[in-house]
Amino acid sequence: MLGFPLGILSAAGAGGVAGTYELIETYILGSNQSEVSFSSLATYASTYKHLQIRMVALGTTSVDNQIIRLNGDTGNNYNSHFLFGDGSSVGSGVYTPKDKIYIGNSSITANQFTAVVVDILDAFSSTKNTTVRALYGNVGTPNVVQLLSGAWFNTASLTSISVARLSNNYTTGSRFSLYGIRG
Amino acid sequence: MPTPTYIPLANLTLGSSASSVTFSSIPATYRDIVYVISGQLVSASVTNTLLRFNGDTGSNYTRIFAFANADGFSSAVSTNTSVFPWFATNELSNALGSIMDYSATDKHKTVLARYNGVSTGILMSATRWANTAAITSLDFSTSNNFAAGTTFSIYGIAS
Repeated sequence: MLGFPLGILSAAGAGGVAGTYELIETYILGSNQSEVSFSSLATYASTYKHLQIRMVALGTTSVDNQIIRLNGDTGNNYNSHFLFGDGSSVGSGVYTPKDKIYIGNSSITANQFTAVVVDILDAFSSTKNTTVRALYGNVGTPNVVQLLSGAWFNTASLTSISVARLSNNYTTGSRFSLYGIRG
Repeated sequence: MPTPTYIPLANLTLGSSASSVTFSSIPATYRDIVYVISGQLVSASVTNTLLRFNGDTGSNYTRIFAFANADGFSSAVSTNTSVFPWFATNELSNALGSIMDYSATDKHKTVLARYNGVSTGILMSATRWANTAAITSLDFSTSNNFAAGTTFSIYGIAS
């Protein structure tokens, strides 16, 4: 048995080598809200290669899909695939309609916050379509763990990312953080 | 102003086999913890390793997984006395997990994780610890001993 107290690390400022993975912005909702938008991303185009969203969220009304859209595009310019386990079966498929990228359901049950980590790869490239991958889990209602992929068929550099529930709000306390990864 | 984060909090390589590794006095400085385990057990039997928070050994962890190997795939959900951080044998395996909002006190804690073993297969899982307390300690353990050379790294991510 080995034990390692870490409090001293905190006191020393944790010490690690940092600078390649950086927090850009966090929203922790103080009231119910339908959407969170990270805008002005062009500011970071010359700084970062990839982006990551880490979110812990809960909905207000009915279990519902969570989605992201890029640069405000609401056209049928996306594709999303999923591989899931729901506690009894494993399955896969493609989402429709294709006007958004799907990043899993979110719960409405108290304390059963949905967790999602979304990677947006080569976010600021202007020569390739943008691809997204996500790992999502909700334990309770519903029970599901899911690996997702998404594509936006547009070579534009990202300027904004919106995260939303499909048809109703996120609750107070839901948290959305955006990170940049240098290339 | 962007803030550098993903800060290494601890990095341990076992010099000899051990049945458990505990990281305690974890500060609430960060929002998420990422853990990375790379190594193996001393037994050839596939063994679930355990991760417990704040010393809680009660049936307060509900976990769901999807697993695949050369023989097929499966999914199950169950209430347990630990997170399911890893499955391993005496062959190299690894795990990468995120303990989301570990320092929050207004929600249960969810762990998202992925694992792979050389011959055992691949797995993704989500676990919810039904407790709103901030996590201050992580206890990794196994009934078969972690082998010498196994590494445990944990990182703090700010928000």
